[in-house]
Amino acid sequence: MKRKIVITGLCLFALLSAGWVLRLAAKQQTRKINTAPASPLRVEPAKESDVTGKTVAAAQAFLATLDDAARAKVSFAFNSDQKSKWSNLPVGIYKRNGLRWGDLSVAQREATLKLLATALSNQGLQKVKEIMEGDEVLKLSESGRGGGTGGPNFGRDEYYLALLGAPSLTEPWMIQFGGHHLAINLTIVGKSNVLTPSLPAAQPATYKLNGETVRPLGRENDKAFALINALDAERRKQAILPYQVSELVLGAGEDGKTIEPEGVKVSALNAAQKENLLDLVNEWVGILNDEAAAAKMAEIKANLPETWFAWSGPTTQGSAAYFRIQGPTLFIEYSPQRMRGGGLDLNHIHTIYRDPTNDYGARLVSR
Amino acid sequence: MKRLALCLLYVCAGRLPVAAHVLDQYLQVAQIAIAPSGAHIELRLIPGVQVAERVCALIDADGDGQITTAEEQAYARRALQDVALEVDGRRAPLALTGVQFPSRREMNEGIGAIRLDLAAGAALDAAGEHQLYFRNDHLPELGVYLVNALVPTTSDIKISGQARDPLQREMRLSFHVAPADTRGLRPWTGMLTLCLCLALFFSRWKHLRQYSRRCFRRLSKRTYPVKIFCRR
Repeated sequence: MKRKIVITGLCLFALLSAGWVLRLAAKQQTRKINTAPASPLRVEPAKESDVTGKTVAAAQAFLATLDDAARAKVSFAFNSDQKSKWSNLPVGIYKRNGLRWGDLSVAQREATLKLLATALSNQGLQKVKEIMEGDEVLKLSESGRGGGTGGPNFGRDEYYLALLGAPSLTEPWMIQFGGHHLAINLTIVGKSNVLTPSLPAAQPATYKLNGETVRPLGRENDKAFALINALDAERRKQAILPYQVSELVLGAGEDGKTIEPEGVKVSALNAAQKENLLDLVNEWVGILNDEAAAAKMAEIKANLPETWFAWSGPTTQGSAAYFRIQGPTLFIEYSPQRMRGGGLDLNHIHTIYRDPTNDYGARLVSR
Repeated sequence: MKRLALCLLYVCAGRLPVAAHVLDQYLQVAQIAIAPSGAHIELRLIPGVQVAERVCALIDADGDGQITTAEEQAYARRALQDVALEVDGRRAPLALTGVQFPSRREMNEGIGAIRLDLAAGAALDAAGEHQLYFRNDHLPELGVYLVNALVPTTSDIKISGQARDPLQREMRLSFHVAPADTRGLRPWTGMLTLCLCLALFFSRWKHLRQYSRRCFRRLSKRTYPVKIFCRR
């Protein structure tokens, strides 16, 4: 009898322990938001036929259009401090390095656009162009600091291209393109393409071009309002932060920081709401070429149970509201800027897209 | 022309990335880091272009148009006095551990950030639940605030709750500190328990086999033949 009790007890203990260990293993499948250094990622060498190969070819074609002086001006060492020299501020207030769009010849501009078109998706390139055109509208508008006569700090000419490291199928290198309200930081290591940190922003956020209404960040806004309004009352209450947010928390100059997440945990959302959230996230991730964006979206989807969605401001479509999506490998903020005298400006938006574990491809170059 | 000259000056000066451009208020960004050695607060004060002159006048105490290091230090101490920190309901005195001022011209352009590094000496390594309270009362008539807690760099400290007032002038953080004897052991605990289990299990394997055979035999007699499971 005694032996029976001991054996049954042992069996139960072993089963419980096995269950506990399995639970621990399952927990480790999804990463949590933390500051522990993430494990380095394996780097697969790129082939000439894949996106990296085509981007390398486009970068080399661009470099071939330059003379020695211009090539020296656009080229930086991969590990130089140029990597973190980007901002949402306009040129003239914030110094940018590299080659200025306005100084490029027609052939050089075409080569630059070809490079961006290869590295980014169609929608990503379109967003970049719309942000640049928006700055041209700002330059000519009364609200632009240049006033009615136009100023030297704004406009589509005030965007800069820099290349960090030599375009390569195996070694790390980086494309940096930005100006007022735009920072594209694309790190390429072998087959891997990393778009974080990047800052797409807009002022004006709505403008007319050739009779068409243009909203560079319109889909982000509309999808976010659709998502917050799709949540039931309880989830919405969890998502809404009871305080105002008038600026990005982790914008330019805030590299390497991770804040405590807040809002509603995505694991509490239903399948349709999760799909809506992924669709919203894809507005940032999808700036990158389709191949790399698909890989990043798969990673974000796997970490969805540990992802948070937070909102600050009214939930009526057409209002200005701040939101944040934060997961183990994702940090997105959408922040309408504060107007003179208070209130948030629907026509002046800053956003940031980061990967707290892999900004500038940190996990790929830390080997 | 003056604007162009200013712009050229900034182009010539290498500067750290700055993001904010709130125009008519004084943006005050606090980031709180909790560590076993104590709480550290990074406070960035960025006067908007329309209030920069007022802030500069406060810093330039003698009004001579020049901001000296002594005036910067005095202003930093004033800002420090306006910030309160409490841990578990008791005031935790803060010390200035770093002060960085931008140029006056940067401030006049609305892009200059005053950075103050503050540290509370009291250690936060006592195991259990704790509360931290932070409040910023610096120039509330001009201020617009952001306050956030950074994810602790050690897994021994877990933030379990955050609450702010609607303007983000104050924040209450609840956090848990793991007992010292469990720190760093967790990854091994599971493995050790499993090994112990397996050792016990195999030490009793002979009895377990005999016992399970007897069980199956009894079951087969009571219901229908299950000899297939009891092969010798």
